[in-house]
Amino acid sequence: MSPPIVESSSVTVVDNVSQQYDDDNFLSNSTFDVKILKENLDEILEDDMIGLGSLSSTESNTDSLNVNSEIINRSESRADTGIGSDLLSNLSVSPSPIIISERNNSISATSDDMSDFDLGNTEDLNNNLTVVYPLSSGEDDEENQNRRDTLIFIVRDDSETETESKNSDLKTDDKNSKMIPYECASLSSVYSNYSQYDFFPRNVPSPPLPQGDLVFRKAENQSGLSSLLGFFGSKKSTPQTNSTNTFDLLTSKLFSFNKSKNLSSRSEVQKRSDTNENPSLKNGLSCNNSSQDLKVPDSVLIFENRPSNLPAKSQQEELKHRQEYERMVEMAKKKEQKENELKLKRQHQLGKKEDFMTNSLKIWNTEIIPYWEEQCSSKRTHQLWWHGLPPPIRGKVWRLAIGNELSLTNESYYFYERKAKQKLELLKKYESQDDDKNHESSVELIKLDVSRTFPQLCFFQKDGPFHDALHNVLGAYACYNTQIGYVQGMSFLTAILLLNMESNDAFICLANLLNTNVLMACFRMDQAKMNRYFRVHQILFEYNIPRLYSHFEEQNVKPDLYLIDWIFTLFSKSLPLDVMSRVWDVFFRDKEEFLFRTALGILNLYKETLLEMDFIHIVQFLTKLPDNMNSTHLFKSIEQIVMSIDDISFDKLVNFDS
Amino acid sequence: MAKAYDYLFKLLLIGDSGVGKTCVLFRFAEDQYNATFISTIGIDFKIRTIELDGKKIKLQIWDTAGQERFRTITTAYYRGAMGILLVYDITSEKSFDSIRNWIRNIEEHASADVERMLIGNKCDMNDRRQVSKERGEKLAIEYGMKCMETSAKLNENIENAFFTLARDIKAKTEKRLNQNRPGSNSQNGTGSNTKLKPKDNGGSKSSFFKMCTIL
Repeated sequence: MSPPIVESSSVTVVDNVSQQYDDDNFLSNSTFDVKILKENLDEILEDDMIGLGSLSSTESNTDSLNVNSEIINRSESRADTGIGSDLLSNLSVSPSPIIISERNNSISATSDDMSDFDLGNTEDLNNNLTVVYPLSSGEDDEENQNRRDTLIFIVRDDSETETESKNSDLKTDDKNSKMIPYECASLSSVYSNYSQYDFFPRNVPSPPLPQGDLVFRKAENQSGLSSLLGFFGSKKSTPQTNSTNTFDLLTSKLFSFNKSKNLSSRSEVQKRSDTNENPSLKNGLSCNNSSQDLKVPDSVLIFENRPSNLPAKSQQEELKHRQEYERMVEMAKKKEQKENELKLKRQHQLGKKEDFMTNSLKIWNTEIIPYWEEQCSSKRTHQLWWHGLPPPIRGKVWRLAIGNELSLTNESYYFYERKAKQKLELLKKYESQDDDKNHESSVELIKLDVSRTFPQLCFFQKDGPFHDALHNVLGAYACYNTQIGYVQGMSFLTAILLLNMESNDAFICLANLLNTNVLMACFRMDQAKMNRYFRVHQILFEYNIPRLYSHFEEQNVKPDLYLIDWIFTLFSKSLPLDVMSRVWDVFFRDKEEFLFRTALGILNLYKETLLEMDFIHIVQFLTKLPDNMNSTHLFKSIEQIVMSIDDISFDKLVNFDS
Repeated sequence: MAKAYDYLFKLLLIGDSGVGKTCVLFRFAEDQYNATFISTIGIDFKIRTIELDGKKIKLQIWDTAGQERFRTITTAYYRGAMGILLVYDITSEKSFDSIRNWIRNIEEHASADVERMLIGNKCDMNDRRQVSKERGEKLAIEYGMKCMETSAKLNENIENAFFTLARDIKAKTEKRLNQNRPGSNSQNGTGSNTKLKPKDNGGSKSSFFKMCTIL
């Protein structure tokens, strides 16, 4: 047994656990004190907080986090062994969520250089979340450095499972990006395997998902694990009485502990700075853990928990069961490891992307938008643009990029909006006046389509926040351009604009957008022109993806089967919202050529899948593209598409072909 | 290798915007109903395989955008269709009036022997009815087609409509196959055509009636 090593007196969280195991209330009666030996931390942390851990903001992780918190709690409450830390190490938890040293049940987390670790002032902390981001020792250091996310996670020891979370320095980011996914091993897969085992209750409930972003649940009341433990503890009268003990048995069994193990885990605490000016501050949080020998014969688990009224298993049977059981555990472990790796990878990408966007936002705000005329076509701007616009400035850049060739003003919007309303009232008065020739009658049609626009978002339906705005902008456009009027498809374009800007700006953008060549041809149903675009698409299709092209020819898949839907709505109907937004970003940069490049990019991305399909499946696939499409993959695929043949540009091809 | 189906029929749904074409199709193909469908842009389709008299029939049903503007695009799909369902909304006089325009479109762009059927959808909304059942029937007789009132919401007559249309197409297809067969069969075929009534069984009566109107 070795004492916790405090390398420097920076962040040391001492957790005095006074244990009062109670038959009725196993964990809620145990009290925990946290002393943070750092002045400003004392202000931040309240006395009744019990633990230090980290939490994920992603839904997929909440489950596993829940489990992990239990592990921590339980391991903390054990007086005699270091099983908790052992367990954590055996779970291949990465990054390790907390550093646990076992003497006196104290948790020690140390930092090499606390001076670098500034949690900011308390004011900030009242509103935000401080994130201590622990990373596993196996992490690639360079990647860690890219991450400036820190997460300190503080849990109250109230019976109400409550989380105190603060963010010191994520002011610029939106709520979703406050928290960085925290990875920990999930026991859930073990549960599910476990529940199949013969001595397990069949109806083991799965652990409930925490509500909201940050819920760190106490173990005793709700998890599936505790019910398992309850079952295991059936020797005593109340299920929860012995749960710590049985938990250890279970875990030792589950993760085939080495009997004695010195554990040393290193974590990094990094500070997230919203400016990204500081290089990432690296703080080592390290601690040595040692664990006492745990000598629990494996058989105990099975013998102890076999209900006494049943006859004992034969030796053969027992052996068989144990082997089966070990196999299950092995499989579960492998699965978890795989999942963890994947999650970690995703999480890194997310972090990188976030940092990139923060940086990019700053550049857009300070260096590009104020000097739009000079900067809009610079190489750097184009490069940044390719990676997608940061959402806060998306509307602004779209407006600038679309321009206002038609010289529309806010006043013109209000004028046409009023006109549309009058028109609608008139229609109500003299119903069914047949004026099919006049497309202003399509004002009526708008009403029908508004609620049929992105119904899954619930923004544009009756009583939705954008219902009226969408109605008004479409009506105004129908009255402004009476030659075109309202055409189905416009509602989707307008809806996306409205998600990024005010009604008047959306109107101006819509009018100018529809004034561009390809959209004009579509919404006027100029077949000759549309066919010209489709023909060029076919030429480029054959040039870029000849194998798929000939497959489509064989299957008789004509481009209008998918292109009409894609182009009329600028992909807003068929692509996931985030991917679609990035496509729009670059569409405003590269103009109509990019629409067809995206179309080919999509075909290229799913080339292999499509080659296996017949006519029916191809068309159905293309009109409803996979929801999980990744914009990075799509844009990589788009990058491979060449849009000029023998130096003949796309524009020339379109006009040339006529 | 055995084919997954014996016949492949291509059907088409047309009618004004908002009459419920997509809902009708969704109900038939997926047996689900959703009050707020996304509007159809251009063209879309669904598949369902049904069984009729021991034959597996794959129905490929095309759903079109209802807005008049899209007719230039959608009419391109008329030619391949073997059956067309003309859909109106019984709560909308206007959608019923448009049926004549839609029929004109069929006459211009579809093949002459295409099976047609008139569908008055939303019959669950009787309190808001603007088009009586009799008017629907009258129009159907005028153009020599069957008619049916349906509700995608309550799943009323949806199956019936598609099955009836499929049965008619099947009868017609099989008749043509028999005609094309050399020898006595062919004579039988022509015989039935000239004699008109005698050889028809109950199932194909209506289709027979329709044939007469076309001829």
